[in-house]
Amino acid sequence: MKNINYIKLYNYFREVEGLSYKASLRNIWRVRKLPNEFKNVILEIIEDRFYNVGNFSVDGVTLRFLVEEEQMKCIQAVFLLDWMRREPVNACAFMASKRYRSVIQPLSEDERNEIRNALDKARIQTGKDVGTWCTPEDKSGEDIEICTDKEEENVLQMD
Amino acid sequence: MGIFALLKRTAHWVGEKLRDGVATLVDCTLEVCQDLAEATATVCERAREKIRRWMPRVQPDEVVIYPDVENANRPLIEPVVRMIKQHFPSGIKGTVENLTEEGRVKKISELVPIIATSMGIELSPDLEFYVPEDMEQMYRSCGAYNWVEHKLKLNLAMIVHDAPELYIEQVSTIVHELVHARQRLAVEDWINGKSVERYGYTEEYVQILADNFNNYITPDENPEAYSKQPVESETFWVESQIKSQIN
Repeated sequence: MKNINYIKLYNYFREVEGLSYKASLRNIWRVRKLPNEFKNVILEIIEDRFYNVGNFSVDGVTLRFLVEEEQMKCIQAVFLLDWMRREPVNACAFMASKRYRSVIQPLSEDERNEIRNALDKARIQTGKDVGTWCTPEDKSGEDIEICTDKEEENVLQMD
Repeated sequence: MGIFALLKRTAHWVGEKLRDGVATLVDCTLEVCQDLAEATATVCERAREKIRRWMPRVQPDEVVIYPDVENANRPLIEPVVRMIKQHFPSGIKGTVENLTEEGRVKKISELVPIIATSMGIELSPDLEFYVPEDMEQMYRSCGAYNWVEHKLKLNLAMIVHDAPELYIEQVSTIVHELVHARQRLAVEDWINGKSVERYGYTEEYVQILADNFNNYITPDENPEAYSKQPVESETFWVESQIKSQIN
Protein backbone atom coordinates (compact mmCIF):
# COMPACT_ATOMS: atom_id res chain seq x y z
CA MET A 1 0.00 0.00 0.00
CA LYS A 2 1.27 3.49 -0.86
CA ASN A 3 0.92 6.55 1.36
CA ILE A 4 0.73 10.30 0.85
CA ASN A 5 2.88 11.79 3.58
CA TYR A 6 0.78 14.23 5.65
CA ILE A 7 3.57 16.72 6.29
CA LYS A 8 4.75 16.66 2.69
CA LEU A 9 1.23 17.30 1.42
CA TYR A 10 0.73 20.12 3.93
CA ASN A 11 4.01 21.72 2.91
CA TYR A 12 3.11 21.37 -0.77
CA PHE A 13 -0.15 23.25 -0.24
CA ARG A 14 1.54 25.94 1.79
CA GLU A 15 4.71 26.45 -0.23
CA VAL A 16 3.88 25.47 -3.81
CA GLU A 17 0.17 26.28 -4.06
CA GLY A 18 0.46 29.26 -1.69
CA LEU A 19 -2.53 28.35 0.49
CA SER A 20 -3.25 29.50 4.02
CA TYR A 21 -2.93 27.24 7.07
CA LYS A 22 -6.69 26.61 7.24
CA ALA A 23 -7.08 26.12 3.48
CA SER A 24 -4.24 23.58 3.49
CA LEU A 25 -5.86 21.57 6.30
CA ARG A 26 -9.23 21.64 4.54
CA ASN A 27 -7.60 20.40 1.36
CA ILE A 28 -5.90 17.52 3.20
CA TRP A 29 -9.36 16.48 4.36
CA ARG A 30 -10.58 16.67 0.76
CA VAL A 31 -7.62 14.63 -0.56
CA ARG A 32 -8.47 11.90 1.96
CA LYS A 33 -11.93 11.65 0.37
CA LEU A 34 -10.68 11.34 -3.24
CA PRO A 35 -10.81 8.04 -5.16
CA ASN A 36 -7.53 6.11 -5.16
CA GLU A 37 -6.58 6.97 -8.75
CA PHE A 38 -6.79 10.69 -7.90
CA LYS A 39 -4.82 10.19 -4.69
CA ASN A 40 -2.18 8.45 -6.74
CA VAL A 41 -1.94 11.47 -9.06
CA ILE A 42 -1.45 13.73 -6.05
CA LEU A 43 1.26 11.45 -4.70
CA GLU A 44 3.14 11.76 -8.01
CA ILE A 45 2.75 15.54 -7.97
CA ILE A 46 4.10 16.06 -4.47
CA GLU A 47 6.96 13.62 -5.20
CA ASP A 48 7.91 15.89 -8.12
CA ARG A 49 6.89 13.38 -10.80
CA PHE A 50 4.28 15.41 -12.66
CA TYR A 51 5.65 13.97 -15.92
CA ASN A 52 4.10 10.62 -14.93
CA VAL A 53 0.58 11.99 -14.57
CA GLY A 54 0.35 14.94 -17.01
CA ASN A 55 -1.85 12.84 -19.31
CA PHE A 56 -4.25 11.88 -16.54
CA SER A 57 -7.63 12.94 -17.91
CA VAL A 58 -11.36 13.13 -17.36
CA ASP A 59 -13.70 13.50 -20.32
CA GLY A 60 -10.74 14.28 -22.61
CA VAL A 61 -9.41 17.12 -20.43
CA THR A 62 -5.86 16.38 -19.26
CA LEU A 63 -4.09 17.57 -16.17
CA ARG A 64 -1.34 19.03 -18.36
CA PHE A 65 -3.88 21.08 -20.33
CA LEU A 66 -5.32 22.58 -17.14
CA VAL A 67 -1.88 23.42 -15.76
CA GLU A 68 -0.24 24.68 -18.93
CA GLU A 69 -3.10 26.18 -20.93
CA GLU A 70 -5.47 27.23 -18.16
CA GLN A 71 -2.74 28.27 -15.69
CA MET A 72 -4.19 26.19 -12.86
CA LYS A 73 -2.11 24.95 -9.96
CA CYS A 74 -1.44 21.19 -10.05
CA ILE A 75 -3.59 19.97 -7.16
CA GLN A 76 -6.24 22.61 -7.89
CA ALA A 77 -6.42 20.99 -11.36
CA VAL A 78 -6.75 17.50 -9.81
CA PHE A 79 -9.69 18.74 -7.73
CA LEU A 80 -11.21 20.23 -10.88
CA LEU A 81 -10.91 16.89 -12.72
CA ASP A 82 -12.52 15.07 -9.80
CA TRP A 83 -15.38 17.59 -9.93
CA MET A 84 -15.62 17.14 -13.71
CA ARG A 85 -15.98 13.38 -13.19
CA ARG A 86 -18.96 13.88 -10.85
CA GLU A 87 -20.58 17.09 -12.12
CA PRO A 88 -19.26 17.88 -15.61
CA VAL A 89 -21.75 20.69 -16.27
CA ASN A 90 -20.91 22.60 -13.10
CA ALA A 91 -17.18 22.09 -13.53
CA CYS A 92 -17.35 23.44 -17.10
CA ALA A 93 -19.41 26.42 -15.92
CA PHE A 94 -16.60 27.21 -13.51
CA MET A 95 -14.01 27.04 -16.28
CA ALA A 96 -16.09 29.11 -18.72
CA SER A 97 -16.92 31.97 -16.45
CA LYS A 98 -17.02 31.55 -12.68
CA ARG A 99 -13.28 31.40 -12.21
CA TYR A 100 -12.93 34.91 -13.58
CA ARG A 101 -15.09 36.56 -10.93
CA SER A 102 -12.90 38.20 -8.32
CA VAL A 103 -12.74 36.72 -4.86
CA ILE A 104 -14.40 38.83 -2.18
CA GLN A 105 -12.36 41.55 -0.57
CA PRO A 106 -10.41 40.13 2.41
CA LEU A 107 -11.61 41.25 5.84
CA SER A 108 -9.47 43.28 8.19
CA GLU A 109 -8.68 41.78 11.61
CA ASP A 110 -11.13 44.23 13.21
CA GLU A 111 -13.91 43.14 10.86
CA ARG A 112 -13.15 39.47 11.54
CA ASN A 113 -13.34 40.05 15.29
CA GLU A 114 -16.57 41.99 14.95
CA ILE A 115 -18.16 39.08 13.03
CA ARG A 116 -16.71 36.49 15.41
CA ASN A 117 -18.12 38.32 18.45
CA ALA A 118 -21.56 38.72 16.86
CA LEU A 119 -21.64 35.01 15.92
CA ASP A 120 -20.54 33.96 19.43
CA LYS A 121 -23.30 36.07 20.92
CA ALA A 122 -25.89 34.55 18.55
CA ARG A 123 -24.63 31.03 19.31
CA ILE A 124 -25.14 31.58 23.04
CA GLN A 125 -28.64 32.99 22.45
CA THR A 126 -29.88 30.35 20.00
CA GLY A 127 -27.71 27.35 20.87
CA LYS A 128 -27.16 26.85 17.12
CA ASP A 129 -23.79 26.64 15.35
CA VAL A 130 -23.94 28.08 11.82
CA GLY A 131 -20.41 26.97 10.92
CA THR A 132 -21.43 23.52 9.73
CA TRP A 133 -21.39 24.45 6.02
CA CYS A 134 -17.59 24.49 5.96
CA THR A 135 -15.24 21.61 5.08
CA PRO A 136 -13.54 20.25 8.23
CA GLU A 137 -9.84 20.90 8.81
CA ASP A 138 -7.75 17.73 8.92
CA LYS A 139 -5.35 18.11 11.85
CA SER A 140 -4.86 14.35 12.29
CA GLY A 141 -1.25 14.33 11.13
CA GLU A 142 -1.91 10.87 9.67
CA ASP A 143 -0.63 9.85 6.25
CA ILE A 144 -3.22 9.18 3.55
CA GLU A 145 -3.40 5.58 2.37
CA ILE A 146 -3.79 4.70 -1.30
CA CYS A 147 -5.23 1.25 -1.82
CA THR A 148 -4.76 -0.74 -5.01
CA ASP A 149 -7.99 -2.06 -6.58
CA LYS A 150 -7.33 -5.50 -5.05
CA GLU A 151 -6.69 -4.07 -1.58
CA GLU A 152 -9.87 -2.03 -1.82
CA GLU A 153 -11.81 -5.16 -2.80
CA ASN A 154 -10.47 -6.96 0.27
CA VAL A 155 -11.39 -4.06 2.55
CA LEU A 156 -14.93 -4.02 1.14
CA GLN A 157 -15.28 -7.78 1.66
CA MET A 158 -14.10 -7.46 5.27
CA ASP A 159 -16.65 -4.70 5.86
CA MET B 1 4.38 49.34 -27.29
CA GLY B 2 3.14 48.03 -23.92
CA ILE B 3 -0.42 48.61 -22.87
CA PHE B 4 0.55 51.05 -20.12
CA ALA B 5 2.87 53.05 -22.29
CA LEU B 6 0.08 53.26 -24.84
CA LEU B 7 -2.54 54.32 -22.32
CA LYS B 8 -0.23 56.81 -20.65
CA ARG B 9 -0.50 58.99 -23.74
CA THR B 10 -4.17 59.56 -23.20
CA ALA B 11 -5.50 58.19 -19.91
CA HIS B 12 -5.60 59.58 -16.42
CA TRP B 13 -5.57 57.11 -13.59
CA VAL B 14 -5.34 56.99 -9.85
CA GLY B 15 -1.67 56.49 -8.99
CA GLU B 16 0.88 55.04 -11.37
CA LYS B 17 0.20 51.40 -10.60
CA LEU B 18 -1.90 49.94 -7.83
CA ARG B 19 -0.73 47.06 -5.67
CA ASP B 20 -2.72 44.34 -7.42
CA GLY B 21 -1.07 44.89 -10.76
CA VAL B 22 -3.84 47.06 -12.10
CA ALA B 23 -4.27 50.69 -13.02
CA THR B 24 -7.51 52.37 -12.05
CA LEU B 25 -8.65 54.71 -14.74
CA VAL B 26 -10.27 58.00 -13.94
CA ASP B 27 -11.57 58.75 -17.37
CA CYS B 28 -12.61 56.58 -20.27
CA THR B 29 -12.51 58.85 -23.27
CA LEU B 30 -13.02 57.55 -26.79
CA GLU B 31 -9.27 57.73 -27.35
CA VAL B 32 -8.47 55.69 -24.22
CA CYS B 33 -11.08 53.08 -25.14
CA GLN B 34 -9.86 52.84 -28.73
CA ASP B 35 -6.23 52.48 -27.64
CA LEU B 36 -7.16 49.72 -25.22
CA ALA B 37 -9.33 47.89 -27.76
CA GLU B 38 -6.54 48.01 -30.32
CA ALA B 39 -3.86 46.84 -27.90
CA THR B 40 -5.90 43.93 -26.58
CA ALA B 41 -7.51 42.68 -29.80
CA THR B 42 -5.50 39.43 -29.99
CA VAL B 43 -5.86 38.54 -26.34
CA CYS B 44 -9.58 39.38 -26.52
CA GLU B 45 -10.00 36.86 -29.33
CA ARG B 46 -8.22 34.21 -27.23
CA ALA B 47 -10.58 34.93 -24.31
CA ARG B 48 -13.60 34.51 -26.60
CA GLU B 49 -12.24 31.16 -27.80
CA LYS B 50 -11.81 30.03 -24.19
CA ILE B 51 -15.40 30.93 -23.34
CA ARG B 52 -16.68 29.14 -26.47
CA ARG B 53 -14.55 26.08 -25.68
CA TRP B 54 -16.07 25.56 -22.23
CA MET B 55 -19.51 27.12 -22.62
CA PRO B 56 -21.33 24.86 -25.11
CA ARG B 57 -21.35 22.00 -22.63
CA VAL B 58 -22.91 24.14 -19.94
CA GLN B 59 -26.57 23.96 -18.99
CA PRO B 60 -27.88 26.39 -16.38
CA ASP B 61 -29.83 25.48 -13.25
CA GLU B 62 -27.46 23.01 -11.72
CA VAL B 63 -26.23 25.34 -9.02
CA VAL B 64 -26.75 24.08 -5.47
CA ILE B 65 -28.09 26.77 -3.13
CA TYR B 66 -29.41 27.04 0.39
CA PRO B 67 -33.14 26.28 0.53
CA ASP B 68 -34.40 29.71 1.64
CA VAL B 69 -32.07 31.63 -0.65
CA GLU B 70 -34.14 30.89 -3.74
CA ASN B 71 -37.19 32.44 -2.08
CA ALA B 72 -35.17 35.50 -1.04
CA ASN B 73 -33.85 36.10 -4.53
CA ARG B 74 -36.72 34.98 -6.75
CA PRO B 75 -38.52 38.39 -6.54
CA LEU B 76 -35.33 40.16 -7.71
CA ILE B 77 -34.82 38.17 -10.88
CA GLU B 78 -37.77 39.39 -12.93
CA PRO B 79 -37.28 43.17 -12.32
CA VAL B 80 -33.54 42.96 -12.94
CA VAL B 81 -34.07 41.03 -16.20
CA ARG B 82 -36.74 43.52 -17.27
CA MET B 83 -34.48 46.51 -16.55
CA ILE B 84 -31.55 44.96 -18.42
CA LYS B 85 -33.77 44.20 -21.42
CA GLN B 86 -35.10 47.77 -21.40
CA HIS B 87 -31.56 49.08 -21.25
CA PHE B 88 -30.56 46.98 -24.27
CA PRO B 89 -33.70 47.12 -26.44
CA SER B 90 -32.01 45.46 -29.43
CA GLY B 91 -30.39 42.82 -27.22
CA ILE B 92 -26.90 42.95 -25.78
CA LYS B 93 -25.30 41.61 -28.97
CA GLY B 94 -27.13 44.09 -31.20
CA THR B 95 -26.40 47.00 -28.88
CA VAL B 96 -22.70 46.21 -28.52
CA GLU B 97 -22.23 45.94 -32.27
CA ASN B 98 -23.79 49.33 -32.91
CA LEU B 99 -21.89 51.34 -30.30
CA THR B 100 -18.45 52.93 -30.28
CA GLU B 101 -15.90 51.74 -27.72
CA GLU B 102 -16.75 54.75 -25.54
CA GLY B 103 -20.48 54.13 -26.02
CA ARG B 104 -20.14 50.57 -24.72
CA VAL B 105 -18.51 51.89 -21.55
CA LYS B 106 -21.17 54.57 -21.09
CA LYS B 107 -23.95 52.03 -21.57
CA ILE B 108 -22.58 49.69 -18.93
CA SER B 109 -21.94 52.60 -16.51
CA GLU B 110 -25.62 53.56 -16.73
CA LEU B 111 -26.61 49.99 -15.92
CA VAL B 112 -25.01 49.87 -12.43
CA PRO B 113 -27.47 52.19 -10.59
CA ILE B 114 -30.38 50.60 -12.47
CA ILE B 115 -29.51 47.08 -11.27
CA ALA B 116 -28.60 48.33 -7.78
CA THR B 117 -32.03 49.94 -7.41
CA SER B 118 -33.77 46.79 -8.71
CA MET B 119 -31.90 44.81 -6.06
CA GLY B 120 -32.98 47.11 -3.25
CA ILE B 121 -29.55 48.66 -2.72
CA GLU B 122 -30.47 52.19 -1.72
CA LEU B 123 -27.11 53.82 -2.38
CA SER B 124 -25.63 52.59 -5.65
CA PRO B 125 -21.87 51.94 -5.42
CA ASP B 126 -19.50 54.26 -7.27
CA LEU B 127 -18.10 52.74 -10.44
CA GLU B 128 -14.42 52.61 -11.37
CA PHE B 129 -12.68 51.08 -14.35
CA TYR B 130 -9.30 49.40 -14.26
CA VAL B 131 -6.91 47.71 -16.65
CA PRO B 132 -4.86 44.66 -15.58
CA GLU B 133 -1.16 45.30 -16.00
CA ASP B 134 -0.28 41.84 -17.30
CA MET B 135 -1.57 41.10 -20.80
CA GLU B 136 -2.04 37.42 -19.88
CA GLN B 137 -4.30 38.47 -17.01
CA MET B 138 -6.31 40.84 -19.20
CA TYR B 139 -9.38 38.57 -19.28
CA ARG B 140 -8.85 36.66 -16.04
CA SER B 141 -10.45 39.27 -13.82
CA CYS B 142 -13.86 40.71 -14.60
CA GLY B 143 -14.36 43.02 -11.65
CA ALA B 144 -14.78 43.32 -7.91
CA TYR B 145 -16.81 45.05 -5.24
CA ASN B 146 -14.90 46.99 -2.59
CA TRP B 147 -17.11 47.28 0.47
CA VAL B 148 -14.85 49.62 2.41
CA GLU B 149 -15.18 52.24 -0.31
CA HIS B 150 -18.56 50.92 -1.55
CA LYS B 151 -17.12 50.85 -5.06
CA LEU B 152 -17.69 48.53 -7.98
CA LYS B 153 -14.59 48.05 -10.13
CA LEU B 154 -14.84 46.67 -13.66
CA ASN B 155 -12.16 45.50 -16.06
CA LEU B 156 -12.37 47.97 -18.94
CA ALA B 157 -10.66 45.62 -21.39
CA MET B 158 -13.72 43.37 -21.32
CA ILE B 159 -16.07 46.19 -22.24
CA VAL B 160 -14.48 48.13 -25.09
CA HIS B 161 -14.54 45.34 -27.68
CA ASP B 162 -17.22 44.36 -30.14
CA ALA B 163 -17.34 41.00 -28.32
CA PRO B 164 -20.81 40.16 -26.97
CA GLU B 165 -19.52 37.17 -24.96
CA LEU B 166 -17.22 39.42 -22.96
CA TYR B 167 -19.80 42.20 -22.62
CA ILE B 168 -22.37 39.72 -21.26
CA GLU B 169 -19.74 38.52 -18.78
CA GLN B 170 -19.44 42.10 -17.56
CA VAL B 171 -23.20 42.56 -17.23
CA SER B 172 -23.18 39.30 -15.23
CA THR B 173 -20.27 40.60 -13.18
CA ILE B 174 -22.30 43.67 -12.17
CA VAL B 175 -25.14 41.39 -11.02
CA HIS B 176 -22.67 39.09 -9.21
CA GLU B 177 -20.86 41.87 -7.39
CA LEU B 178 -24.07 43.64 -6.43
CA VAL B 179 -25.37 40.44 -4.83
CA HIS B 180 -22.15 40.42 -2.78
CA ALA B 181 -22.80 44.07 -1.90
CA ARG B 182 -26.28 43.13 -0.74
CA GLN B 183 -24.96 40.23 1.34
CA ARG B 184 -22.44 42.51 2.96
CA LEU B 185 -25.08 45.15 3.76
CA ALA B 186 -27.28 42.45 5.30
CA VAL B 187 -24.41 41.21 7.50
CA GLU B 188 -23.65 44.78 8.59
CA ASP B 189 -27.30 45.39 9.47
CA TRP B 190 -27.43 42.12 11.43
CA ILE B 191 -24.27 42.98 13.38
CA ASN B 192 -25.79 46.38 14.20
CA GLY B 193 -28.93 44.75 15.54
CA LYS B 194 -31.14 45.80 12.60
CA SER B 195 -33.72 43.61 10.92
CA VAL B 196 -32.61 41.76 7.77
CA GLU B 197 -36.16 41.24 6.54
CA ARG B 198 -35.86 43.81 3.76
CA TYR B 199 -33.24 41.61 2.08
CA GLY B 200 -35.61 38.63 2.17
CA TYR B 201 -33.03 36.70 4.17
CA THR B 202 -33.61 34.81 7.41
CA GLU B 203 -31.42 35.80 10.34
CA GLU B 204 -29.89 32.33 10.36
CA TYR B 205 -28.86 32.64 6.73
CA VAL B 206 -27.24 36.03 7.38
CA GLN B 207 -25.25 34.40 10.17
CA ILE B 208 -24.11 31.73 7.70
CA LEU B 209 -23.03 34.51 5.32
CA ALA B 210 -21.14 36.23 8.14
CA ASP B 211 -19.39 33.00 9.06
CA ASN B 212 -18.57 32.44 5.38
CA PHE B 213 -17.04 35.92 5.06
CA ASN B 214 -14.75 34.90 7.93
CA ASN B 215 -13.93 31.50 6.38
CA TYR B 216 -13.89 32.31 2.69
CA ILE B 217 -12.70 29.65 0.21
CA THR B 218 -10.79 30.88 -2.85
CA PRO B 219 -10.83 29.11 -6.23
CA ASP B 220 -7.10 28.47 -5.78
CA GLU B 221 -7.93 26.33 -2.77
CA ASN B 222 -10.65 24.30 -4.45
CA PRO B 223 -12.82 25.25 -7.45
CA GLU B 224 -15.81 23.19 -6.34
CA ALA B 225 -15.80 24.31 -2.71
CA TYR B 226 -15.37 27.91 -3.89
CA SER B 227 -18.43 27.67 -6.14
CA LYS B 228 -20.57 25.93 -3.51
CA GLN B 229 -19.81 28.04 -0.43
CA PRO B 230 -22.90 30.04 0.65
CA VAL B 231 -21.79 33.54 -0.45
CA GLU B 232 -20.80 32.31 -3.90
CA SER B 233 -23.53 29.73 -4.50
CA GLU B 234 -26.12 32.46 -3.97
CA THR B 235 -24.39 34.94 -6.28
CA PHE B 236 -23.79 32.34 -8.97
CA TRP B 237 -27.39 31.19 -8.75
CA VAL B 238 -28.74 34.73 -9.21
CA GLU B 239 -26.21 35.39 -11.95
CA SER B 240 -27.11 32.22 -13.87
CA GLN B 241 -30.86 32.89 -13.58
CA ILE B 242 -30.41 36.37 -15.03
CA LYS B 243 -27.81 35.42 -17.61
CA SER B 244 -29.99 32.66 -19.06
CA GLN B 245 -32.80 35.18 -19.64
CA ILE B 246 -30.80 38.05 -21.13
CA ASN B 247 -28.46 36.01 -23.29
